Amino acid sequence: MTTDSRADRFVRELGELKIPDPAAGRPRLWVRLGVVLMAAGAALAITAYATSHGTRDPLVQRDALALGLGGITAAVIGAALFLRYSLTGFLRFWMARQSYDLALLGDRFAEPGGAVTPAAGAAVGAAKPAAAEVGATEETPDPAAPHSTAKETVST
Amino acid sequence: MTPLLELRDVRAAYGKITVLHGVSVSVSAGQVVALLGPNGAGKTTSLNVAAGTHPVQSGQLILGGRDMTGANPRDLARAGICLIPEGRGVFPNLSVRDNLLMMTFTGHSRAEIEAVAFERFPILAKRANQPAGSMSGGEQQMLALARGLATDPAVLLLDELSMGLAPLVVGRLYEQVAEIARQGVGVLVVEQFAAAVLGIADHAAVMVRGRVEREGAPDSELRAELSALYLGSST
Repeated sequence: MTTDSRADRFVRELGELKIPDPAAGRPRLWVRLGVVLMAAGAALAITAYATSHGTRDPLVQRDALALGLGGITAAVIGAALFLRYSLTGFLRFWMARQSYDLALLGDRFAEPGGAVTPAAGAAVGAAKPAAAEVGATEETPDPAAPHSTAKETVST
Repeated sequence: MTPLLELRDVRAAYGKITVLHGVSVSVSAGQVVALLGPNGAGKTTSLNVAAGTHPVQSGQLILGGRDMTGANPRDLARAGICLIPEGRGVFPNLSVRDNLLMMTFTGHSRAEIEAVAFERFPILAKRANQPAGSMSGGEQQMLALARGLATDPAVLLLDELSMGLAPLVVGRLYEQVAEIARQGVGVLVVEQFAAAVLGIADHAAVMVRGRVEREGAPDSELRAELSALYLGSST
């Protein structure tokens, strides 16, 4: 790999990119639209119900029925939109949280006394709390305590 | 030579709090640039802006001479921008081999990726079947670097490589970074602890409170000024 070739390839690949990404702000818009549709749909359905009960005219009642069905449909569509886009955001956050927790676990293993041997590698999950406790005990030894006491604490 | 990466007068914020007040930094092919500064100076944010993962309020992200402000970070990663974040980001319960396997999304085969990783970091070959979380911090950082190299980066962005590592290990890692740069990769390193990185850096910029206060060759003059800049007084 030469300097020029990689740099040239980099510039060429950048040239093929489309910027900026116009879809970046859309999910938030869809979530908002979902909320609006849910609220409007529910309000429409309740209004239609009240209208149909407020009259004995079958024509008005039929109109109210159609309006109510439209409201419920709008609410269902709104709920679907809201779930679809808010769930995406939540799952993205959940994945980020998972990676962070895993990184934290890795750091805990890397601490003195927290590392496991290759043979014990398969039991990483099971060894996690014990390893953490050992690491914590070893990091904060009581200077006043006799050495044997410290050993006992570690072994438990 | 046109810089591979250039931040030009970049301002960035978290909500209403502006953390970068017109930062300008550039990295050319084969160059190691150190971005130094105390906690909260805006170093990591600058790196995130460079990787396209943090939006800019104003200013430009220029890559290969082209304004790429607002580009999708996935596209930038595919083109050759590689960010190795603080905290390594390896999968601790996966083996070293499986961690490397994750990089096959770049289009390179497993064998190619392992060849690059194991050639540069032979210790990883010995630990190939070991869970990454059971390795030392230095070895995990090597794995993170190896994974980054598997993407064949043009620009490598390193965040706090030395974090939680012994000075000896840090020295060895930075030797590897210098070797990577010699092969034509532009490297932008963010570091809180300047001593390690200044040994290999071609250029250094010291950030304080979201501004580049001082930049230039990492000579004795800059080293002498560093502590004063870190503590917030002028020399």
